[in-house]
Amino acid sequence: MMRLLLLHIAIFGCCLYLSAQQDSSTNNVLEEIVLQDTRLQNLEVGHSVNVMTDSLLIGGHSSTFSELLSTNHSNHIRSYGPGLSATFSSRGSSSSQVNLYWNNLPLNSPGLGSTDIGLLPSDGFSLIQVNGGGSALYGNQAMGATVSVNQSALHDNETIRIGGGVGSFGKYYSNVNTRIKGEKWENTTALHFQAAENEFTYVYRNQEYKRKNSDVQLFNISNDLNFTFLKKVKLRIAYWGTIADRGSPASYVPTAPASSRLEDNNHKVVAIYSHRLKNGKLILTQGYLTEKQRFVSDNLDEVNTTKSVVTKATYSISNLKYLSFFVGADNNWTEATGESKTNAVQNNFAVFGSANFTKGLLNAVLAVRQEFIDNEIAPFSPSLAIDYTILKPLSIIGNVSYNFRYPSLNDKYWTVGGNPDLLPEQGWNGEIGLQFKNKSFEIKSIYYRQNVENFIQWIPTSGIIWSPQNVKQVSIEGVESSFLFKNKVGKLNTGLSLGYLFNNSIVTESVVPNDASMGKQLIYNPQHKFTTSIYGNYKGFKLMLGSMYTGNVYARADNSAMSVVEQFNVFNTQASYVLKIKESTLEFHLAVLNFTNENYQTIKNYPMPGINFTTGVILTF
Amino acid sequence: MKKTILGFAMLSLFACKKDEIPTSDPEKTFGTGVYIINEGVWGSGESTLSHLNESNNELTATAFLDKNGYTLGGDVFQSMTITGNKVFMVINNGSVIEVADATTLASITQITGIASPRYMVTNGGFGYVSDWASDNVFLIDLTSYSLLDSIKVGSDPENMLIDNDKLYVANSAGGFGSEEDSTISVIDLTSNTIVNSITVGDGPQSLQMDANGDLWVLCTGFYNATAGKLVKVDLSDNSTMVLDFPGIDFQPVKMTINSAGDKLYYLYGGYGGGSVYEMSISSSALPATPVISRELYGLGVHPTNDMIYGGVAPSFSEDGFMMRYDLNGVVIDSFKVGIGPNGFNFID
Repeated sequence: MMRLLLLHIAIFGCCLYLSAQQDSSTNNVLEEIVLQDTRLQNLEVGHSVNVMTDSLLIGGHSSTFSELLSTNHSNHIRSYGPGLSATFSSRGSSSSQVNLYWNNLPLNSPGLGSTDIGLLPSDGFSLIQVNGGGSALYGNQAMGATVSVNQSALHDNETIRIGGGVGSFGKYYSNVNTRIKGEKWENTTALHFQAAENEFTYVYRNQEYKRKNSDVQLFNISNDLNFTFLKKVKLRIAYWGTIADRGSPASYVPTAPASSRLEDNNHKVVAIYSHRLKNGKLILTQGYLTEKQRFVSDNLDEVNTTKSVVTKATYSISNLKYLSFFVGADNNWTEATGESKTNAVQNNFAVFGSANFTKGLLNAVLAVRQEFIDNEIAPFSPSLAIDYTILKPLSIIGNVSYNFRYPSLNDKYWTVGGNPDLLPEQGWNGEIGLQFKNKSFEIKSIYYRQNVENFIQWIPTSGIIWSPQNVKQVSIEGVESSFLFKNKVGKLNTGLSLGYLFNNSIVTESVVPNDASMGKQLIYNPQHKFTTSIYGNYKGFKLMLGSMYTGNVYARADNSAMSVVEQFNVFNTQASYVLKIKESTLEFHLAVLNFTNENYQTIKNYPMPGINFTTGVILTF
Repeated sequence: MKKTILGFAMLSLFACKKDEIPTSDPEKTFGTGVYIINEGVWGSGESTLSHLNESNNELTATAFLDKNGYTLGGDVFQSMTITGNKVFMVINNGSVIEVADATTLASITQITGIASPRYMVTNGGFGYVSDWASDNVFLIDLTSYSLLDSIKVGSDPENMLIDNDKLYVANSAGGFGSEEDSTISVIDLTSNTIVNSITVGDGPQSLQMDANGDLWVLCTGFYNATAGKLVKVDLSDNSTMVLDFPGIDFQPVKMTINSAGDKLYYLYGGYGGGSVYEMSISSSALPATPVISRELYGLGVHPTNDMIYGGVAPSFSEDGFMMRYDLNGVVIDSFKVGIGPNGFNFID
């Protein structure tokens, strides 16, 4: 452990100073988004922030959030196959301890308590992930990480972007982004479509088989309408719809039934009103989300729906010299209906506030939040975060917070086994590290520690009936390090990024007598993850190379060697060429994924594809 | 700079030592002794077959894997039948019946085509498999391993019993979702058609034939609604003697009988199992106290020495145990087996 810490400080210590220019395409857009979101800005202070954009994702035009989030070394993705259901966890936590937000709306399903990241397209999206605890500002589920989802396909001078292409295993895709604007308004519309048969080959008992029932049809449409009145008042009305029809495959056993289907129909609509006042800014948000999922198998045809009504009001005061304040109230009313749920309604109301002190070399944020869930008082969640500049590009960052994760509607109200008496998972979370940031380099190394009490796990309370219980206490500890380098020499732009996560998530207490998971790693959390990404851009020609190594992962709570998802290393590469024709551009790209043909799985017994490619064109004008 | 990049690139090939998985030992034979059925966990392919050699108490935890080099096809290994020196392993969530040599466990073939197989009984050269998905009993040719016919029975056919050319099928649908059943289907094996349906108690789960020729049926009751029952059926006139279990909190399951056919054993008082109760077939009341007070998930009685075999499943994410008790319920020894040991097959 100590040796690793020293190693990270050493990596950190050896940095060369080179002058360079920033790669303008994505950073400006992101800065603009970040500046507008005070709550996210406050959370970012003293935390490790990682940005994932589709332009740096190999195969990013035809992939999903599943692939996009996996490029982040602190995330572990569990997927049933390409484009199929997938969830992720950050820094050794669970998939219910991360939350994603789009236009102030939480994306996690109130039923499942997590987001199916296989449903969301990567093209045109940028994700800002703030690691560590965030319940003080974002409330429920912000324990492992909070992710802000932003759409940014078009640059300022572009009106339309049309792209499409094909890929292995019967894949074809198409993306359209358009913008029209007037003097005081702007409207962007985006359509994303992808489909694939996914009958890739895999080996079972020394014989080759074709993967069955893993086909995907995915359609996303979003519209973003922005008005500006009198320069001080802005109104945004945004919509995002997702429709999917996907197979729900069995494990790699060829004889297992292969006919289950999963249909998803989700819609989100939000209105955000923002008014710049004399001393600050008022933002009101009203959103409405619905989800409808249908699962069909040989002897089941079940529809489950959820509805959420989200109301938020925040006020930020920023006219003082060193201090700014941010206060707000959130209300999230959710309801889940379906044959498997009874009376699943929940209302979350919270008040929160933060004070941001910035003077000289110090930037500090103190935040508190009190959430009420139905008639219960959620754990009080304060947080203190500090970013202190030691020498201009080098700063020390750290934070301490108390966070919680309330059980999902399925945990509480599933007809057979649901446990309405479940307590929330909760615990302290802290991190401390060094960050070096200048125009060419961004190097950081963070040590984090998290304690989770009342860890919820579905355990069989009878041979057939499983029920969630507050069973364990988990102690999570690790180091997150990353190195980012950008350089420009003449017309050559290059970039290199490396990320490494070392994590231990150990069960320290259990109410189950003689629990064999005591002192063992939580399942589906790798101890090591290492990502690399290199790109070079010269006169319109761009080459990218990336790799992702995930260490051994236990699939059994007692960490038996019988049940390990083996370590794997996946290499990807992409070449693209941009042709300028007057005001328009035409881009050709070819990506080869998993070009070393690694046989790997992320969920035990669910094979992932070997070498495959995607190719396409994009026309922008 | 270049060197640093190369150095980092090399790091990406950094590999941890792979954990060792037991390697196969082709010379080993199994045969005489006890096979332990380890269910595994739904969805993760963890089912295994263990073997205890009774002469030297050697336990092989993953006998099938050791012999063949690969795991059983799927999970929820529900039951096993042995006939003609072959074992037939019914893998419920793999939709497959693994066929292997009973002595060496060398894999012979996989019988497919039954979506949710549960139990198998044999008669002559034929096998009968109960299927939850289609509510059928499938007829299999044990030489060609092909499916010959299917007979529609009640809801969720579970355990079966063959006696006197008749096949008795427990239709176990116990109130999950909307299906409920309280009958035994009777199939005439000369014509492979249903000739009778006997109403017993709610959710009939296991059946045994006693030394007097009476049929005993253990019923779980409907989940959270009705209590379990132990029913004795006089097959001459289908009259029944019904013994009621107290309360709906627990469901009695996994009834078995000793080789003399005069003592019944079942699990009750736990979840999917419970303590072991013993009852004489001449009794007219349920035993008040258990003979073994430990939460067991699997139950068996040795055909020669009457030892009671219990499967212990502390959870479904760790290996379980097999406990052996004498006929008074005193512990003899224990062995570590696989996940969720739910049953035993004895080979003399």
